[in-house]
Amino acid sequence: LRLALVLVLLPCATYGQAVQRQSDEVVNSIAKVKSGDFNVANIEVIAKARAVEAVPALEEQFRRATDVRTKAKIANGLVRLGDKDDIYWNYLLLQATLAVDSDLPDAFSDSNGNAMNQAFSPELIAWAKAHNVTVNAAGLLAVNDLPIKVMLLGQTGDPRAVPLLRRALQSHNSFIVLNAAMGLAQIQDKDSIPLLIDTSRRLPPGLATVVARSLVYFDDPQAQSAVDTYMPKEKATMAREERARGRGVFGW
Amino acid sequence: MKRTQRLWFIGICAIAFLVCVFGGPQRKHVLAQTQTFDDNVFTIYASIDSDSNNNIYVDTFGPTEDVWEVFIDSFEVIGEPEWELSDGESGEGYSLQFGPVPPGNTYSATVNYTVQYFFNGQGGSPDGSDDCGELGECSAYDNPTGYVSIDIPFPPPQISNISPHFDVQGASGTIHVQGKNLQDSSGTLNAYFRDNDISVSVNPGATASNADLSYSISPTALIGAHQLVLQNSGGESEPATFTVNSAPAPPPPADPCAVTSSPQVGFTSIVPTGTASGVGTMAVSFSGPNFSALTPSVTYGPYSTPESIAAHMAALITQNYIQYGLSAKAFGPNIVYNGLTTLGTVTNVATGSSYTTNTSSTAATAAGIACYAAPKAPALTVETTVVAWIDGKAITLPSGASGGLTSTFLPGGPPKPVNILSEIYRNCALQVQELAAGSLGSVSNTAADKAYANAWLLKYSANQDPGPSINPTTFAANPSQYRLFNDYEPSAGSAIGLAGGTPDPCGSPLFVLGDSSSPYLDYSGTSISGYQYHLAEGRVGSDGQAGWATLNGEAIPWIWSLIEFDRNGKLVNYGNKKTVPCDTPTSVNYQIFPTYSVYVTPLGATTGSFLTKINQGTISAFASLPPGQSLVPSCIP
Repeated sequence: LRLALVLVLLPCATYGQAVQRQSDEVVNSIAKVKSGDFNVANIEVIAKARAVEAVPALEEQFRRATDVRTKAKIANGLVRLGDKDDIYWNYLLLQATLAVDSDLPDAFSDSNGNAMNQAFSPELIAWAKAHNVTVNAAGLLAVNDLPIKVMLLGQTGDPRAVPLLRRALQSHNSFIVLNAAMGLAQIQDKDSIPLLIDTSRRLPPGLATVVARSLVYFDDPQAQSAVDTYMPKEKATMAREERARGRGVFGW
Repeated sequence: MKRTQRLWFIGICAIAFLVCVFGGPQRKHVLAQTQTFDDNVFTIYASIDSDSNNNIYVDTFGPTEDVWEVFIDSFEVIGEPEWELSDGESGEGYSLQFGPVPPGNTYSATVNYTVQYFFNGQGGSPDGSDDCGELGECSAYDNPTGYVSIDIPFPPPQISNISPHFDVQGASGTIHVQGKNLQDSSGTLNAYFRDNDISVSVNPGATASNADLSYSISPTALIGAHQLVLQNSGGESEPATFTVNSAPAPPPPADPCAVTSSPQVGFTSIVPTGTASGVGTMAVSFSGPNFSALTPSVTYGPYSTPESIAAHMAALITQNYIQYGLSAKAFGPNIVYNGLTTLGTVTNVATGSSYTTNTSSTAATAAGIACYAAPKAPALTVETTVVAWIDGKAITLPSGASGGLTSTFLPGGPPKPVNILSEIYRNCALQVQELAAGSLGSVSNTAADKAYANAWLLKYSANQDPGPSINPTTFAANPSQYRLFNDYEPSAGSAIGLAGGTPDPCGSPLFVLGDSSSPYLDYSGTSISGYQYHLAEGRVGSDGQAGWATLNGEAIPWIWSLIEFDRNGKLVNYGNKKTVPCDTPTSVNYQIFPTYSVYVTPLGATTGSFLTKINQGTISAFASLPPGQSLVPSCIP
């Protein structure tokens, strides 16, 4: 009986400690935002915890921030916390729109969709030369900076992002396409399911699998059917199991 | 005089004047004495002049017309009665010479004339008062008096020698002048240069044969010859040439041997080569393992002295090669080293037991230096390079990570080469994007997942081992090969610190440049102990910092390498000594992560050889350091 009691209480104690740690993490993050010495992870912690008491501090830091990534991340957090001031949404939308409308080519695929595995695409090289930047810098822009702007918009789950994200599915930058698909799944915009299926259809198999993983998060027969079509069986199973365990398309 | 006679007479005078000016002896002063006698006008002359030896000449002459004669009845020079004209010596065309007379005076002659008028008895004397008798000759007299004077000035100075006849820019001193007629009888002697580069003044005590001049040469004076001129009441001397040479390098410290620590490492002797007269180069070679590659040299010119050559050399060595313990003395024909020998070996090519100043102003015939020395840190002759790199093989992935994470960050790393269109690459890249944006993505909020992600990202963004040798220049040009690059070549006065790049852990050819914002990325200084160092400090770029913060909750510490030389030119290795009172870093020379490889490149070589490696600590230890830990230069012991 004593052993049974221990076995019962131990998980409870562990859970309690986890809750306490999370609480400390949130308090620490809020304090850091207030001090101005914070990072994007602190904002994520606050947003996930729905710690609305941090909104004034975040608004203040948004006003002070000069770095685009930091500013966009603050806007992302404020929108997720329900801040109704359009300035934050508009900032996110503007940045994502700039990314979607960018003429920056895909980093690794040429205009015909052929992969350049260990080399950059000729279009990217030409773009870098025309814009007087290194090819590596252009590549980082294509692989990280612009897609992350689309990611931050989609992570909000705000339906106002749907038009831009649908348009982003047509982007020549494959990472923007993948983030747009994840964003539409986060928003649960079922009207976009056909578009997502069509996107999976036209992409190479590896990329189609990633897009199809977004369809896992729709309780829709058409979507689930497409998952089975475009994802290997074991990966589809794993994705569905993760969703069943509560993992969202962006991990939460 | 009849009109015709008068015109004829004037013509004669005009011819005589031309002769005086263009053909005859130079007549300095001429007296024209005009007399009217019996309605006739007569002009008589007396002249006085001198030659270069200060002899005075007095000449008289008058009209050559037969009927007239001019006699000088008397002549005297004021103040000089011995030169009075004696009776019977008068007459037309008489010349009197006397002298030489002392210069600097005015000499005057008083001339009394007797003018006798002859006529031939045709009607007697002009006024009819005289009876000319049967011979028809009669005469009349007049006795005018004239004065003539001449200045015999003091002659201009003549310079026969000046010493010294050269010096350097910015110098001052005394020029000793020898010559004739330097200071005149009135005490006048001035000195000046024809340009404004050198100011000069005459010191008290000048004589006609010697004078001392104080001079001061402008630091910006033109290199080369300058004209010195003396002047007295008689005029200017011919110029004497005084040469200005370029200023020598600063002399060695007055007492550089005050350092009491062991000064000598590898140094055994200094052997200067001899110098020849005229122009040339003096070179010094060192012996000893740490000095043999040093071959400083200085050029010298015809006005250099052994002292100046050796002093220049000593200064050069002090400046570039020797930091402590230098005691360099110049020696030439008259200079012998007499320095301290307590701290090191002295090898002296000269002999003698006293130290005297070389006073020769002639060209050098020999010069050298002797000193004991401790090498300046640069004199270690090696370029030291520290490459900070992540050793992927030394990182072991922790166990216990979730399946969701290990399916994204594959335990074996991305396939090589990675398929850019594969799901594996895309999932990995999307995960990296999420971490950079502050989201955990597939990383669950557990210590195991976070530790795994930390290790995986570092392991698969590792650098290649730089290997047994590197060319520092070409190596530095490729930042994807290192996380931090530090190169210090003090003997060449060069140092560089560079933040490297982080290769894409997902396997694409991308790499992210490191954070170069540290004020200590490329920082040189002197430590508390007085040692020279170069500090390089950097860290991963903004995406990596965000990812680290997402996984670890805090700012990533800075990494650094510190290259420091002690007074013996030895690389300082503080090991794990903590700085006091700044106790944040656990190691001064290196951060505990990543791996640091040290290379040394001999002077003049291009390839550095591996010296040692400091293995990286654990990621968990690095992650437990204070957030944003940095090495503050003021804390370097």
